[in-house]
Amino acid sequence: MRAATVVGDVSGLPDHNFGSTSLGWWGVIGFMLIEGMGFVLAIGAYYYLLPYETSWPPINPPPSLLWGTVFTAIAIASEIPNQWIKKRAAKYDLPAVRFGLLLMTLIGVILLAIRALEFTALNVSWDKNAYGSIVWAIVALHTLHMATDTFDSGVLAAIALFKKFDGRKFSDAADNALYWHFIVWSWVVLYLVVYWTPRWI
Amino acid sequence: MLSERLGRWNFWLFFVGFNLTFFPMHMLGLHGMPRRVYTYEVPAVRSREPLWPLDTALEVMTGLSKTKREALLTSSTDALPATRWAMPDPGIWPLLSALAITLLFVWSIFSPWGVVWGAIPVAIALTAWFWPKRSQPSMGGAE
Repeated sequence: MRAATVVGDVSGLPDHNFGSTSLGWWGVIGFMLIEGMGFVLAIGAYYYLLPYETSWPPINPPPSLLWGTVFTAIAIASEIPNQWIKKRAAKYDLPAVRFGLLLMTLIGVILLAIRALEFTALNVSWDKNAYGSIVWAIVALHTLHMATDTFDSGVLAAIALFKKFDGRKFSDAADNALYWHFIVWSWVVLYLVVYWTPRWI
Repeated sequence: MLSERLGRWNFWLFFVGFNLTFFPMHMLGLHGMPRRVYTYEVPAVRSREPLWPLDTALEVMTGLSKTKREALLTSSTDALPATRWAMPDPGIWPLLSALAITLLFVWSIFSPWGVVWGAIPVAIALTAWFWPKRSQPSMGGAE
């Protein structure tokens, strides 16, 4: 056994941080990798099924553009308050974070309502054929992730309003905003797949 | 048909590789090595072979708590110490979350509505897990 010499003391380090020196940040990065892979597999399944049909979509008209496009526009616009709250969280700005979390929860609920309308405009039932199944699978998979982040924003907003919001929670609020980036930009890709593949091929 | 020859290669490579990896750990366990040690002193690493020179003393860092679990987070490339991250206390909610998510998936086999209604106990359990506990010390920076 070698003798040990103490060359430093870590007891003065902060008990929370933002970005890559926060454990929650790595959790969100890992989650985005896993779930992003799920989206990649779903997109792969979509293009795997495509050449087996003589036309695409096989029977039905392609999904109607209105609600999906409205959803995409609002989602991209929501990146502005989302990025703002991420910055304010790192400055421990409690009033801004309270307002921002409530706003992002509200935006999430509005987007979920638009998403419900989108399902009625896909122009195919999930059990009609393989095309219907994969289109519903892709949109439902994304909806599940969006609902999760909306709920997460709501819980954080409740803690910010009614409990002590300590440094770790500010870090959580920043990580929550990071995850919303993933929700928005993964959707932009899925929107092109679901809505524009039938129109471009 | 799947290739019989590739299947045999897969089996033997897996069998030999697995045991080469884990059987030494099994022997260490029989000699009394516990599975996980979180009270090690943190070594200060300055070279690619910090454990090889036997003539010098091992350089270590102190300061992580000895009474509660803490993870030391460092910068990504240089591994400079950055954060002492306290791990949560033991509690019932991780178990209840696992049971709730099991219910969701089993339910979803029989009905798609299992995903919708099964999500409610999952959300409750995860929220209770995440909710600030009185026993947890507050992390600085606010109010």
